[in-house]
Amino acid sequence: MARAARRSRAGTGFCFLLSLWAVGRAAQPPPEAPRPDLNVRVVVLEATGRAEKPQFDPKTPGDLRKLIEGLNLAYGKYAVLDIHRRPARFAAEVSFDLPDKQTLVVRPFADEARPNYVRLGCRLLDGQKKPILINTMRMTYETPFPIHRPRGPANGLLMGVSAHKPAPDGPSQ
Amino acid sequence: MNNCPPEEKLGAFLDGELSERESGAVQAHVRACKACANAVAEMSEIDRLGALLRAPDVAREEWGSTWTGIAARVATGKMPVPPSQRQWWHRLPACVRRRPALWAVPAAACLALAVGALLLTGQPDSPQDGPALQCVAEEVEAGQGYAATVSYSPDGEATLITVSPIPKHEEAPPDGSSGKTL
Repeated sequence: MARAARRSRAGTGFCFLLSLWAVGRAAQPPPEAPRPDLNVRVVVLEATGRAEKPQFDPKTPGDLRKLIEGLNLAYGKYAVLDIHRRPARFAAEVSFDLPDKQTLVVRPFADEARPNYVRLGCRLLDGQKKPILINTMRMTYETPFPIHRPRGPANGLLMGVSAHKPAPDGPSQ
Repeated sequence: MNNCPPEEKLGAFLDGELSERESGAVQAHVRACKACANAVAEMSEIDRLGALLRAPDVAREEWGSTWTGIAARVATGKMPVPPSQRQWWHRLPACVRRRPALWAVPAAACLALAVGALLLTGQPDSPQDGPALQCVAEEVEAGQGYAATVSYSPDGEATLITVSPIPKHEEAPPDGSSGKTL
């Protein structure tokens, strides 16, 4: 009889401890995601036609538009197909889906000597994940560089790739 | 003692590499010579301690990568020196390194011109602030069946990388696939 009572008290105690543990666990805040080292932005533009003075989609970011205007390209119209923004960590890859089942894989590296600079290792893969282009760019933050992929005599894709320092309070640009 | 055997012979005696006759002679000498007896005792102690040392275990992957590096150096016949450790004159072209005197005068003239131009035009911008360094392609490689070109905007602020497929019947695009004029 006494043994059964002891057992019952032990069971009650165990349930009490279990409920305490469950309450404590529920009260804990969820684990925070690691803060990104930078944000990578890829703007995908479709370039078509020929013209002396090109027309830009109003959604084209100003920095990329200024950059393309400075290049000696002869396309007539630029339409924004997509604007990707991804938080990234140094030495880790981020992938961006592109038209024609292509993928752009970007691996950023910090420039230890110059904190304003970043190196972006880029791989452009075709639909079969075969590399079309492998390149490394050394650049300042907030500076886009374009990768141009002709698709025909007067048609092409432009990918404007840029690195952005994350805002102090989060991964937004 | 003046006719002490050399240290190498004492080492060979300890290792049992001498003939019976030589070994007997060295043994007799060591018994009579205190200095050689001490030397032999020291060597024996080193041998004893050396036998206690155990080679550290090396992971198969680590050894594999080490061996790959050794094999590569053996194949090339020389030890690669990292660029950061090379002396600056090793980066000069071979023709300059062979006959430095021939190049000294033009080099001095160029230096004088550069100093003069600097004095006339003022201080150059630092590379970090210069727009030309804002966007630089360090390595560009096209995949099989594609050609890649790098072109720069006239003001040097932008780099354009163009990648285009190579027609199957040609090894290279007819116009070099220049990204400057499309």
